[in-house]
Amino acid sequence: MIQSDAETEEAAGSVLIVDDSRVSGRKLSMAVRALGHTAEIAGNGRQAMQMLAAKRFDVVLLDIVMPEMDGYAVLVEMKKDEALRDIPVIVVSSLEDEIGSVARAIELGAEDFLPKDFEPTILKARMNASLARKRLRDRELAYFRDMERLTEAAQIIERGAFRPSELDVDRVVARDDPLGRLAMVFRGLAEDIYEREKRFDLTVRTLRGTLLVLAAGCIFGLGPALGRMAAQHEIPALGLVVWANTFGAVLCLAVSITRHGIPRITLRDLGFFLFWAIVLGCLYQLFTVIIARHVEASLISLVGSTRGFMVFLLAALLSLERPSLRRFLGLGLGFSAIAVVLLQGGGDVDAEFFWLVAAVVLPFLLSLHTLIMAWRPESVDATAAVGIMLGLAAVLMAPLAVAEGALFLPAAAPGMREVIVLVLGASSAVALVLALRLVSMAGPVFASQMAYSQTLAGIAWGMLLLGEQLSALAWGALALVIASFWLVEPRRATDDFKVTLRMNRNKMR
Amino acid sequence: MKNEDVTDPGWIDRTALLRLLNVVGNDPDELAELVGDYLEDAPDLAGRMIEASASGDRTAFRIAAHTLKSNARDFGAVQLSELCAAAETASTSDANVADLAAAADDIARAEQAARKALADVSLEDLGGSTGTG
Repeated sequence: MIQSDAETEEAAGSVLIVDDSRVSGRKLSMAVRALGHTAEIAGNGRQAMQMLAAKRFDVVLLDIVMPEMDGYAVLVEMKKDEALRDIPVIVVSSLEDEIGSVARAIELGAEDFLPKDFEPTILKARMNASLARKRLRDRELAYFRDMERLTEAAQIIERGAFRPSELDVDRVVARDDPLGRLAMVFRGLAEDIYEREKRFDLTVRTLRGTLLVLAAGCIFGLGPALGRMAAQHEIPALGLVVWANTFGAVLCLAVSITRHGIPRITLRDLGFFLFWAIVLGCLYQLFTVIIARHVEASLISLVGSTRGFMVFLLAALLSLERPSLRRFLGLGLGFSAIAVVLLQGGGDVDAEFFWLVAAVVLPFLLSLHTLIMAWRPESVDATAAVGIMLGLAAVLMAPLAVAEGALFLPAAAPGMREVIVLVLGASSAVALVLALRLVSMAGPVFASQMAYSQTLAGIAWGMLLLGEQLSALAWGALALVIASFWLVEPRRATDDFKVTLRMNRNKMR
Repeated sequence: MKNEDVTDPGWIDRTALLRLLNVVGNDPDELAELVGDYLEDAPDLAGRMIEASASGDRTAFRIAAHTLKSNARDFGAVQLSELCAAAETASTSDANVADLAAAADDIARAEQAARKALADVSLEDLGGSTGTG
């Protein structure tokens, strides 16, 4: 609704007086101010244009006859300028001998004219009429601008993805008219949809994250059992890890190159891959196999569940994720259960306390791995990244394995040794690719819950492959670990989250 | 002694001053300020007309005549305003430079007389008679 009202017509306006005569200019200024308006004087056309560019005026009182830039030139310039063309101009002129000039000025866009020897009542009437027109035009322009803003907001939603902040309709909502109410309903609906979709996204993330956690944990949990089986078959640890990593690297790179072509990495990326290869491909893999010689696979897995708490602490310390009491309780519950097992000794076989404590280094290395994933080069896909890392680790450890005489040659006819190498290499590679996807989708803290599924799987694999058994206390600890699982939510979608609406255009038209 | 000769350049139309007082919101101080501006600028405008006629600059002559015409009328200097109107018209016609120079001299004299008369007007006493000198 665009309506003028008497109140705004009477409101004070800011007036620019353009007159080369100091006396005429001041007379007009005093008259305008006596009517309650504010007035500024420009001594010539050029100065007037500068003042119009610098400040907003409601009305211009313009003398025609001026040296250099006269009133006509000012009018022409003002009408050319989009920002100035709607400011009403009242030409001040001597009627008796300048009637032709007035006509020309009105043709050039002047709103009205005022005789030089005007009466205050005439000045007041013309000023009010011009101000009313100006205000009506201002309201029209604001209405069209707001209408345009609302249409643009609708187009943003129609294009697909949106965030409520992008719609930028607050100014339109502030209007006290039907357009403002329409904008309010529009914004409200958009916000409702956004919130609903955000919640839905969180649910989907949680479900997908949980599936990934279970899958990756199950596969990764094989590690300790395989390490223990390797010990039973007297397979050298270094040689096993070098061959397993080599196989994992070949597997990943073959898949990645088939799907995406040869990965491109920079020198800076190489630094990251080297660090990652040392932490995970070398140290973690080697320690898993070595510690498995002394500690039951199910106990290693149980100790490994402390990783959830380690990641949470490290992520909070590095400000990667915001800590919350709920998450703290969830992770703390899991950790305390493991602490009880560590202190009491949960397995049937008495493990040497040293090796049990040494097993804590495994979740620590995995925590480090989870956290450094935040700096993973985005240009390299997950499969290629794991392939490069495992390959680098194999290259780094191969000379050591040769020096130790641990680098055996795989037999032409595959036996248990070869099967363990292949299963360890493939399971590490697949689990790491899944874990990487998990970190980028749900954040490091949620991904660290893989520690629990890995624990469950490790115990299951230990019982299945090695006939190990857990004590009642260890089972109780496990129940607590599972309970704590539900207290930790995945990282929520941030403000970058965009909602995508699919619209049926045919129905809309 | 009052000057009642309306054709005398020294005759000031008090009704014009009263209208001006009304225009500036009936504030005598504002009117006095405006009169002060006129008394300061008028000789300059007349001088500019003399200079413009001497240099043959018809535009500058016309603009100065136009401004002084409006100002003189506002302050009741009727005779001076009329002389300026005639000079403005002459500047746009075929009148020769000598005629413009003569007109400028007449205007300078009339301006001087009007300025003296206006300076003598008591702005506080405005409202009684319609003319003074």
